[in-house]
Amino acid sequence: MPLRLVAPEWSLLVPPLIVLGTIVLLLAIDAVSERAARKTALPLALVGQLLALVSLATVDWGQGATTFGVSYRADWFALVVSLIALVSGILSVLVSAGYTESGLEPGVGLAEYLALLLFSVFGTMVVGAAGDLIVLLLGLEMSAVAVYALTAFARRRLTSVEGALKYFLLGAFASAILIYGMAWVYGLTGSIVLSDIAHTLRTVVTPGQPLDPALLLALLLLAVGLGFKIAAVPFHMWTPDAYQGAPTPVSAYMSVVPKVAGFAAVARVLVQALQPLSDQWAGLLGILALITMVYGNVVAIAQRDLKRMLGYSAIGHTGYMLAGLAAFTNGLAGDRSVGSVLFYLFAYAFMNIGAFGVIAWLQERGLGTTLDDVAGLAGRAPLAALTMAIFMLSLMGMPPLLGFYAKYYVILALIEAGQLWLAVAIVVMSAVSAFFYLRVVTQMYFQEPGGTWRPVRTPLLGLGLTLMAVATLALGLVSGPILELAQHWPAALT
Amino acid sequence: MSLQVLIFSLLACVSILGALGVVIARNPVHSAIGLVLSFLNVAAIYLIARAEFLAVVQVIVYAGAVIVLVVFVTMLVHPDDLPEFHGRRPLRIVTGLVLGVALLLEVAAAVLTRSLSGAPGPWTDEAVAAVGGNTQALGQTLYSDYMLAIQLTALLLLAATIGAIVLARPEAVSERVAAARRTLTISLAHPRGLDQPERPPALPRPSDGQVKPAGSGRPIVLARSANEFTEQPAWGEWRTP
Repeated sequence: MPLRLVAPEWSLLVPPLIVLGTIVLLLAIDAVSERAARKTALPLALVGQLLALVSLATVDWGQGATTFGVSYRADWFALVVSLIALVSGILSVLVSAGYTESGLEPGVGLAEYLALLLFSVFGTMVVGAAGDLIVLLLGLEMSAVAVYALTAFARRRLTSVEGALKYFLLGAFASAILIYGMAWVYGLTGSIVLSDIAHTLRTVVTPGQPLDPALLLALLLLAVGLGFKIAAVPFHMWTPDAYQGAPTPVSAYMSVVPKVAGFAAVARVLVQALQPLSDQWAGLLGILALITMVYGNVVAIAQRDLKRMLGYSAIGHTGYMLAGLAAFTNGLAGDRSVGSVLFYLFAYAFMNIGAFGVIAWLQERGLGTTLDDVAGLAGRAPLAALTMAIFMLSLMGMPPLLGFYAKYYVILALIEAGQLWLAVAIVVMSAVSAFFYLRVVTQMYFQEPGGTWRPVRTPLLGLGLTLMAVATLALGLVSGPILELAQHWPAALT
Repeated sequence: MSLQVLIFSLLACVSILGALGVVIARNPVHSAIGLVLSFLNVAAIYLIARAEFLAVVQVIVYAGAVIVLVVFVTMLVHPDDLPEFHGRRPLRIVTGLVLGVALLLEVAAAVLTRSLSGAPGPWTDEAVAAVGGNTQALGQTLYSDYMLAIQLTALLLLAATIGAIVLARPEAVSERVAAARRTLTISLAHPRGLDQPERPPALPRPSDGQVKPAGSGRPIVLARSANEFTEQPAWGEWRTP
């Protein structure tokens, strides 16, 4: 067999390559002059990601073109995942701006921090565009490995190191299980290419018949491995500690982008490659969704630390998104399941990074992260309190905020798929979550302030928070184009 | 029974014994030796399967690099610090055993009852022989069909390297002084949640030493004794004096 060397279609790779170029530039400037890096790193990371965001428009995603053989797919799904990853990346960089603006953490290597953050964004974009299992796994690992390191960035603090270690060990364990599952899929179907796997399975699986036990084992291993990555109960053990221990801007980032990567991987593996087994995995995801949302929302009630509370609330939101995937019916044009999840992730980026951003904003001013620390915020900083209230109400699902529309589309998908019980569960759990989200609001507006307040100026962080608050308020009303983009997914995945 | 099957059975048995030794041995160094034994036998099995490249990689990477890493860690960690030495935990041992046996049975059942089998790929014996052997065939495939995966692996390793360097880099003295002077609440991400109702003990100030801005702008700390900084570990838990 002769060696086939084919030049890749570089034009399809422009957005991730811009992110990669930004990383190289960041590290190069840091290597030459640390002082220059401190000044230019943040603007560079922002401009690089904005350029990548703009360059998304240069690719024709509708064709579903592939390059590097079929390893890299530039289809609608890849577009939406890249879009969410880049938007979250930009917002996270803005939230991280406090690191330099108030100069409180002297040990932070800013260029390395941003380089790792961009590596994670890059990995997430790769997962979205993955055409085979190996590329998918590598993207997933890259998006996670960078965040393991970021979690331990406050290495003086024991909780930061502890959270990072738990995240790393459980993540590595999950990857091992995931790879084992992939090996089984390869062994059974003879291919690692997602579309080929689906093709082979379609010929051997007949709906209604009991599944080959080997195939079931592969499915279970994949589900467990991916469940760890998206922090679904019972694979969530690392989440609260990692969220609480990590530096707050990192918590903001890791509550969104690795989750986007995880859900993109779930969609690529289960919806695209294992679509013939959809009867089995849709039921499995439905059960996982139910216990995840119940556990996350109920345990969040008991938390007094805001970051830990948001960690459990993130588990709850994972449950809502899984419910969206469980609404999968046939993968034809009218199927809203994956589209609703993509829109949910998009909305979640704004409100969750925003909520963590307000906590970072408070910490810049000398406050801690507990409920007592936000007491009386409305008197001290009315705008900050208002922003936080917007994010909390949006996470709760109050109309007409962005979070309401996210839940609405998931519920719509569930009703169309005939899974009424999950739709009811989402509504009930949203009501439960009102308890701990509204508690933050009442603390801010009806309590006396305490603690020391240190006025500092953080213009970039403020800009980020304003952007996210405005987006949370307004994007819900003009969500049409994004939702339409997300609903193109059947063209990409089936 | 042909000779090949006999050799395979022998290698497989020794490999399993080595793996058992890893788990059973009380001394971590004995475990490492068991691991080497297991790895080398697996490498020999790869040779029987005519996967020469895989065998060489197995010896270099696993029996070489990974074992060196394991031995290093064993040397660096005091054996008394290992959790097993703080009393046995029967519940954990039983749980681990049950879960392991369950997975083994599951895999065995899946192997024995499967009806699917992978489709043969393009690399038939003749195709492999035509390019000169397994190693050549592997190289050709890796650098044509799996080019993207190779490049991404390089990037993944780069990201991991950057993360490891950042975390392992020693702190500059100025950073440690600055961190010790800062009240902890101002630190980004200070947890005061349910898990840690008590605040960490107040940090001892670097004695009554004085901080004088020197000409270069770097602070000079006058410490009373050399122990003053060494008592505070670079990172990790604050020890109360």
